[in-house]
Amino acid sequence: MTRSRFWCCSIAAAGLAAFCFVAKPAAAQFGGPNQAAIEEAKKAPTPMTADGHPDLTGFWGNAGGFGGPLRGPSDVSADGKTVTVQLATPDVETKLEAGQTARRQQAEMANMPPYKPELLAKVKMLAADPVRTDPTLRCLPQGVPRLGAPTEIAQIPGAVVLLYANHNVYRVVPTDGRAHDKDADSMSDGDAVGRWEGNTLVVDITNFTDDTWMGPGYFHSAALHVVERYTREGNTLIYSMTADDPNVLTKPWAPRPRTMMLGKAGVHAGEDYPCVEKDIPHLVNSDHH
Amino acid sequence: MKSKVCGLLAASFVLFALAMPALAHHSFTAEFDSAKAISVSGVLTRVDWVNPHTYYYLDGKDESGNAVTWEVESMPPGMLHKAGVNKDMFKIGEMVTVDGWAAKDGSKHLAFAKTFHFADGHTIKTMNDDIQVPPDSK
Repeated sequence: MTRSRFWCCSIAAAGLAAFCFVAKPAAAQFGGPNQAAIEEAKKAPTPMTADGHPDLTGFWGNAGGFGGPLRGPSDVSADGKTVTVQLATPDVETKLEAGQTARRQQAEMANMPPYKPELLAKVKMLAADPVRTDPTLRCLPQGVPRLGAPTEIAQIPGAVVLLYANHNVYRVVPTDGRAHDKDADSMSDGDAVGRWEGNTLVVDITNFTDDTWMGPGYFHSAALHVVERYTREGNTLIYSMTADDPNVLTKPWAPRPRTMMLGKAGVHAGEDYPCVEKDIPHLVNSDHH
Repeated sequence: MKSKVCGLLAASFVLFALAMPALAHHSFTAEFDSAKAISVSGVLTRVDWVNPHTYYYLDGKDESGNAVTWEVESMPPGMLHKAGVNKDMFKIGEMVTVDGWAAKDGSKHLAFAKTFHFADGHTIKTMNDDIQVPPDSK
């Protein structure tokens, strides 16, 4: 299988800016908000609901799943050429030149789930040929935890509604103290119940199907158990996740938490276009990007 | 009024992919042949404004004069929208000629669009002229 890229000629572009997609800043490409901006956003007062819990309601922006450590804070050098990110291992920091895809991929590998040794070959095989193996390329659900942090949250008495702009996904997490629904069908997003631990919403999710991935090639079994944590500090939302699957993992997987910043007032998660896959019957090789 | 909408969408697609979560996508070279330029014409009968690619269906004729339906693929709707191209720019019933590239698997009536030419002379160009494929790509 040959890996290839879909290249085009360079962006000459200034005169065509009116019609052209504007590239995101390097920090947004490689990770999350700037650390200084995060610290400033944390200083804002944390809104509380009538029942005494932090109000998670708000637009939290470009969400996305895990699959690498490059989702946390990052700093871009003044010349825009160097992005400093913090990897999953807290004491490791690396500097990547903007656009260094290979090194970025190496960094992402440091954050992969701890698979049983005998399963690593399968993970590698799946990840190497995603056009034929990745369920999302057939418009199937990403599922939890691959969905990652939500784009927008609406917190109402007794529940928290999580909205994901990609593929128009929503999840309703009851926070009224109920237990998991033993009669529920297994689902790609599982069955979620939430509870407050201090100022953190803890969401416990079980009853998954086994046909989604947790990331590139990261398959799991129906025994998957995910715990999400949402903590609001001022105008930031810290999202973390722990995934445990004794059938495939040697220990629970805890990728680096993501910190998001509250979006502008009045901005909401938009509707995504429908997904209809028509290419797969015509593919002659596994080239992908 | 002639207008030309030039989207540097393919280059943007690289940036778009980097900004996304780690979701892979098949490459152009997995399905279409950059060395096989073709031009197809027909009456636009349907537009599928869907992910991961938009599709345009043209009722035309093949080289032998037989009626055929061309299936033409293009960029994702979100990308087109950001470049100022909307679904209502493609009107059902109008005559359209599309320059593009042929499919690799021998599908006779499947193509990937480069430029849409409309009867009044305006064009919508969604790809640059030269796709530079790495030498080791099939």
